[in-house]
Amino acid sequence: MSAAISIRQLAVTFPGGFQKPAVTALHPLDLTVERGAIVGILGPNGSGKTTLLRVLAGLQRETTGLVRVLDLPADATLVRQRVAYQPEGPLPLAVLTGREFLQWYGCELRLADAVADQRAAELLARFQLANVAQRRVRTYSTGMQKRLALAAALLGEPEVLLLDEPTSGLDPLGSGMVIDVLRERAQRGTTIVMASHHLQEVEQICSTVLALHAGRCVARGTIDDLLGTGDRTLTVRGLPDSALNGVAEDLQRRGGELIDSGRVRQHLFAWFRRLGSGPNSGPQS
Amino acid sequence: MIRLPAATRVVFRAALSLSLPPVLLAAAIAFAFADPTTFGANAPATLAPWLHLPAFTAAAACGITALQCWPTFAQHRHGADWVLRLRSGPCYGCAHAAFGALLALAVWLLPIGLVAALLMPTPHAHHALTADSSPILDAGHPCVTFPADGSNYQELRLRPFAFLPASEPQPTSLEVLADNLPLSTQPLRITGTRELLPIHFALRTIHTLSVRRTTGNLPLFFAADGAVLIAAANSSRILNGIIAAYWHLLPLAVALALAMLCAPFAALPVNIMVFVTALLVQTLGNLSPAGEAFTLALRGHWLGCEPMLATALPTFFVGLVATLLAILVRRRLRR
Repeated sequence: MSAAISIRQLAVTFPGGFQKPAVTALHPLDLTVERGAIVGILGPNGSGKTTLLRVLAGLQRETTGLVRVLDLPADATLVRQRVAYQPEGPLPLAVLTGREFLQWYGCELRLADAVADQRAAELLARFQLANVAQRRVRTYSTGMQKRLALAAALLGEPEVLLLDEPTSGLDPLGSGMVIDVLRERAQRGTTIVMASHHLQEVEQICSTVLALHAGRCVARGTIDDLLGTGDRTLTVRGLPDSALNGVAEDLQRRGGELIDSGRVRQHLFAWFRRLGSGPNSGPQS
Repeated sequence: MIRLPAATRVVFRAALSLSLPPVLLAAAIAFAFADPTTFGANAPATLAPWLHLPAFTAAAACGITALQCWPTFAQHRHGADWVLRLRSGPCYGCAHAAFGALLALAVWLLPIGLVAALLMPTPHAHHALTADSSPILDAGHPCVTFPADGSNYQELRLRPFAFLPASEPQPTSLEVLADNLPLSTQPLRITGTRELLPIHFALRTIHTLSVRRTTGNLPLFFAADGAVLIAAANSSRILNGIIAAYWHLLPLAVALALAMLCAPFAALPVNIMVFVTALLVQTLGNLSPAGEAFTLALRGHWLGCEPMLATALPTFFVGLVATLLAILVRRRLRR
C-alpha cells in the first residue's frame, strides 16, 4: 500500500511586497507518512507547522517540491473530501447552533442529510456536546469549540486527519477525550498529522515526530528513536528505605550506577481525571 | 423541490433573525412619522423617504449579516480555511451567501410593500407621449402632434418647459384635440415653465393627440414627460406597493457585488464600510429605481409600465461588472 502522504523537497516562500521582505516558511523538506500513522509536528511559533498543514490541506501552494496526499495532488477535489483539516482558531458561522454547524459542514461535504444527521448525533455524544447542541456556537467556550471542530473534522470519516493544535485550550479531561478519539481513529486506519505544543500529548499518541525550527526539519523519527537512551530503569515498590539502600549498594557492586532515587508520585493528570469524575471520588490526601 | 445551497440557507436564516430588531425599529419610526393624513399634492415627496427607511434598514442589516456571517467575505477571517477547503466555486460561497441575504431582504420587503400599499392611491398606467415631429410649440410651429396607442384614457397632464419670448410675455392658450375632437371645453393656459396642467375628460380611446397654440407668445417645449396620458384602467395597489419595495433588492445586490470584489483585499470592518457606502450612495444618489419607485407609486403611477428597467440598467451593469471582476480576481488569487 502506498504512503498516505508523500512530500519531496517541499519549500514554501511567501512573496514580499512594498517594504515587506519575502519570507521562507518552509525550507526543502522530505516526509513520508504511512497509512494509519500518527505524526506529531513540533516546533516553536513561526517554525512552519501550520504552513506545512495548510500545504497538505491544499490551502497553500508549494513554491517548489512535490506533495501527494492519498496519491493525488493536495488540492484535488477528491482529496479535499477524503482529507479533513481542523485549523486553529475559532469556528466560522458562530451564529449556528452546534448541531446546525455539523449539518452545514455535512452539506458542504455533500453527505446525505440522513447520514450527516446520524454522524452528527454520534459525534456530539462522543464529544459530550449533545446537551449543548442547540446552543449557538458563539456561546461555546474555547474547549467546546475545539471539540466541535474535531467533531466536524471527523464527520466525513476522513482517511487523513490534519489537526492544528487540536488540544490547545482544552482542559485535561477534554484533551484526554480528544486523544482517546484520535487513538480510536488511528486504530481504524486513519492517518493523523497533528501540530502541537503539548509535548506530553504528542509523546502519548504519536508514533512519529517531526521537529521544525525556522522552517527547517531539525529532527525526525519515532518517539523511541528520539527519546530512548537504551538504558533500562527499575521501579521498586514494597521495600522499606533500609532494604532499598541495600539494593542500591548491590547494584553498585554489580557495576551499575544509581542515577536517581526518589518517591514515585502519581501524575497530575490522573489526579485531575479523578477530580472531575465525581464529588465522592476526589483526590485523597 | 429546489434545494438551496448550504451557504444560502445559513445566511438567509441568520440575516432574517439578526435583522429583525433593526427592521422593526425602523418600521416603527417610519410609520410613526409618515402621516397619511398629509396626503395631498406634496405628500408623495414627504412620505417616500419614510417608506425607504425600513427597506433601506432591512437591506443594510441583511447585507452586513452576510458579510459578518460568511468567512470568505473579507480577508484574514477566523475559520475561513473551513470554507476555503470545501468550496470549489470562484468566490468561495460569497455569491451563495449574497443570495441568502437577498432572499432574506425579499422576505422583509413583502410586508413593507404591503403596508406601503395602504398609503398609496390606486395606480394607473402613465404613458409619456413623444411628439412625432418637433416638440416645440411657438409662432413657427403652432401645433404639436403626439401619436397614442389607442387605449382608454381618462386624464392628460401637460407639463411643458416655457421660454421667454422676444416680446412682452403673454400666457399661451392651448387647444387640445384628441383624434381631431376637442378634449376639454375649459380654457387651457400655460403661464410658466413646468406648470402642471391636468385635463380630466370622460373615458375615451385616443389614437392621436394634437396640442395647438391659440393665443399668447410663450414658446413651449414638450420634454419626455411634457405630455402624459393616464389610462383609465385601475391597476393593483398591492402589487404596486410590492413592486416599489422589491426594487430595493437591486442596491443590495450591487453593494454585495462590490463587497465581494473587495473581499480578498479588505478586512471585515473595511469591507462593511465599502458595502454601506455603496448602499448609501445608490440610495441617496438615486442611482437605482429604488429611490424613485415609492415616489412614483405614491403619485399614482402604475410601476408595471414605467420604464424603470431601462433606468436600472447602468446600476445593474455596475453590479454585473463587479461580480465578474470578483470572480476573475479570486481565480487569480486562488491558493
